[in-house]
Amino acid sequence: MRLALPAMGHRRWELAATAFVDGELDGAGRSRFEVHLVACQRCSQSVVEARRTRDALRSLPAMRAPRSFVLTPEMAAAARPTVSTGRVWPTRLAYGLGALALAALFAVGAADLTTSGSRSSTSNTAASAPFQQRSVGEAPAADSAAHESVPTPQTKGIAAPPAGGVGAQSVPSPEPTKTADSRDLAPNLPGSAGGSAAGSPNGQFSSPSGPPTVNSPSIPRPAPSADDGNRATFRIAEAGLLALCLGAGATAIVLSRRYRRS
Amino acid sequence: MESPAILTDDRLVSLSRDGHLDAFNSIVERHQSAVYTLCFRLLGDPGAAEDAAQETFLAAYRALARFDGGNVRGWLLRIAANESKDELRRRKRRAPTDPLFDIFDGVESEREIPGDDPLPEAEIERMELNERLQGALLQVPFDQRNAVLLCDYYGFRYEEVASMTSSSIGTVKSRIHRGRERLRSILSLDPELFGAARRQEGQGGRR
Repeated sequence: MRLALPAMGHRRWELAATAFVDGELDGAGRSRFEVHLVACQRCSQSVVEARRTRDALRSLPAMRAPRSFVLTPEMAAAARPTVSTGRVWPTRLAYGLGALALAALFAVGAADLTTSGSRSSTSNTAASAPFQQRSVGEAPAADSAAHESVPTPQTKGIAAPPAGGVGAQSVPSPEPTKTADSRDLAPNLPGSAGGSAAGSPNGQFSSPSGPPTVNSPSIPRPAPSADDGNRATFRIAEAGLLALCLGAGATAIVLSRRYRRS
Repeated sequence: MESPAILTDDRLVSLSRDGHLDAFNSIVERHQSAVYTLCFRLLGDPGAAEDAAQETFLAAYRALARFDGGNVRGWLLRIAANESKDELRRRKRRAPTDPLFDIFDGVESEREIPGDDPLPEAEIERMELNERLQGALLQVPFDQRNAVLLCDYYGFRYEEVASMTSSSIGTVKSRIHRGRERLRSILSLDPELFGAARRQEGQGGRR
């Protein structure tokens, strides 16, 4: 009689046949398999074939090493110092660069967050505004050393709601929001990104004029072009930093792996 | 050079850790044939096997501090398998040509052919069988090949193979099963080889 076990079920027996050939079945397992073996032609065949393959492999001749692999003192000296100064510095540089890029990216991200916070506080209703302002105030204070310069846009953000009200009142399209957003963003960028962009026209524009000028409804007309440019620069800087961060991270991984292997 | 067989592997390891290179080289001499054989069986090329074997002992020397006792041979063979895998990757990257062309040259050059008397026919047949077996081995996926060799050729238990390959016993069992299955199917495609094996078996049975 033929044993009609499903494929999955029989797979278990096939594995048992392998273990049986290698003497890896315990007493109970061995007995169970032997009972199955009596009835199953397929498993008997598997056992015979597995034994034949194993015996063929066992019959492979022992080989002698073609030469000596002993380590010379020079080889040992080269292998011994796991921490060689010559190899470590590129790894450290890559790690440092990665960390720096990550920190910069984080700062830019925080600035971005601040911006979006003040944007929503500008365009949203008065009810949600206090919450937004609070989150805005917390974000920069938590981490960056540049948070001293942040209060300016922040206070502007707080002062913004009436102006935002004007903006929202005039046009409900996304454009005013964008203007308000980039206006707040502009003073933020130099502050949190280490003041590198301090000479930009926006910095000049916002600092002397202060909140009242920004908030006046007459200004938005010339503002968009400069702000859009600034926004693009901001995005490019962000993308660049992200790329630098990823590149440095990848370099660090590659270097450390190579260093560990050799 | 004779290795001091009086000292156990463990003792030699602790002496090596104290910075005695001679002690480490005794370990090398004791196990270099086993290591080279595994590298050769896994790679099928003598040059690659030599490189992998040398790298194995260098890596072992570097990793001496991390060796947590136990079977030194198993530890070395574990490193050898890893180095062979790396070597295979390196070679594939460098020259992605068909490695099967040098496989048979490799086996040929490995053999010690006595120059004086001509080989008996049975010996030639056995050597051909080995060659084909090696060729078939190289067609089995690396991890299965390694598991099958460690179990069938070196005689390690499943548990030992599992710890040497950082896998579970179930995985080892499955790899050995699939590896042997694959070998069998390759070898049965070679009617001459399996025919010869069956013939030998039949003759043995009749006697």
